Amino acid sequence: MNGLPQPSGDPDAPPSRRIRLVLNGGEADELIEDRMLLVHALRDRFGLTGTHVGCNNGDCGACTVEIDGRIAKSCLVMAAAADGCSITTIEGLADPDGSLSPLQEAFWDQDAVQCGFCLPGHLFVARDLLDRERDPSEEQIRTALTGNICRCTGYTNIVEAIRVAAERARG
Amino acid sequence: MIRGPLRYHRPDDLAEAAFILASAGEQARVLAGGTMLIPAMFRGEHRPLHLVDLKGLGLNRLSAEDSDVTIGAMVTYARMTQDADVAASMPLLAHVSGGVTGGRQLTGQATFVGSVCNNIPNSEAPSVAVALGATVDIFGPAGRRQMTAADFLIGDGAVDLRPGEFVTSLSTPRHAAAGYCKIKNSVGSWPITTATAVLVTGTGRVRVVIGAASATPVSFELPSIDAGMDVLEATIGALLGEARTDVLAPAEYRRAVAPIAARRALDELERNLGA
Repeated sequence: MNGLPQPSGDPDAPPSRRIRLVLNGGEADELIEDRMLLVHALRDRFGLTGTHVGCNNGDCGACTVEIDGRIAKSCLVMAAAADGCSITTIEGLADPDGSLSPLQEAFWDQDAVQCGFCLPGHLFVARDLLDRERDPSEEQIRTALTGNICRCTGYTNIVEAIRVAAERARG
Repeated sequence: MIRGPLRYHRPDDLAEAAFILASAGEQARVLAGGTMLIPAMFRGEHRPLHLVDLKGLGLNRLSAEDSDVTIGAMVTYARMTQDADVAASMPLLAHVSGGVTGGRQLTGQATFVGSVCNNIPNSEAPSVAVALGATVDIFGPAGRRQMTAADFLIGDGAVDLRPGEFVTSLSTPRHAAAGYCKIKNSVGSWPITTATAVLVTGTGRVRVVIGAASATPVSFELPSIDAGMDVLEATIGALLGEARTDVLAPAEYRRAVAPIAARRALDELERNLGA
């Protein structure tokens, strides 16, 4: 985890605070500025750069994380508002030994990734869908993917990867 | 990173929230879901020095009582879509909430009441609140007060809140049947024009509200559900003097499609009444 330089005591310095998170299953705390978005705090303070800064407008989904069991776009969340929350980032989807989750394996096998920038959004919404639907239709998969943008235009393989992941999970 | 020395507050009671808001005056903004406010702050369109988060105030109540539905300020679109009581007693609210785009990341965070309070003309919640005859529940330094959504929405991005005040919830009478039409470019786009049609309780008349076409919703009543296009064109044409032009559509387009949206909403209301 990256540390932040100690506060200078400058009265003109932006307001800041220490936030505590359960981050990918472990406790973590860092000093953040009140004006920071969660996506920037995760990347620049907690050192987790798999969460990407995309549109900064809530459109693309590249900054998606899970907050207290609910998926969210971390460019739409103030870091200070996340104090006390349990957060899973894209780094927390794989097993602790680094092996890919079955969903990630399906994305890998189906070549559902080109540049990979959008993967936090697509993987989190896919996991969210598969937690609710064991056998989603293509329409359900495509509906789940709305709110996420892949500019490599790889949607076809992403849809297929989610279908394959569901099929494998059903055995 | 938001530009400027922003300070975040998470009060844990209503009076403390009102005190901070009153003390900071125009330098404060209220944070609920944040999906409209935070990008606007990032772009520098709003530059508050204080942000007052409502998440610690317990404003999460969503209840369908005998005659009213109450929606707390922190109730998300996802909850309104999933709640069986809302679906049964307020199908319009469930339908509109289910049509919000941005994915489950967004609908699990964005709030209906927040959309009313932001009063962005392109958004759907303000006109739906007016159509339903909703009441806005307000808390402030002088205590609680209520006003109708129609009176609360005073202009593009503007609502009738006094210093230190914020909205705690919104209440609407039940409407078993309604009609709704949304005209937009694509699934993910903001609406260009919306129309909502509901029966006015006890009168047999129909209330139609046109949204997204002007700075604030345009509301009118019709004597019956089968108004012809000539009546709708004349009525809406007279009321919609200041139609909006934006990146989605010019004012002439909005004026042209608003009566069509109204007719489609009336058709849907008729179908739902028959169902």
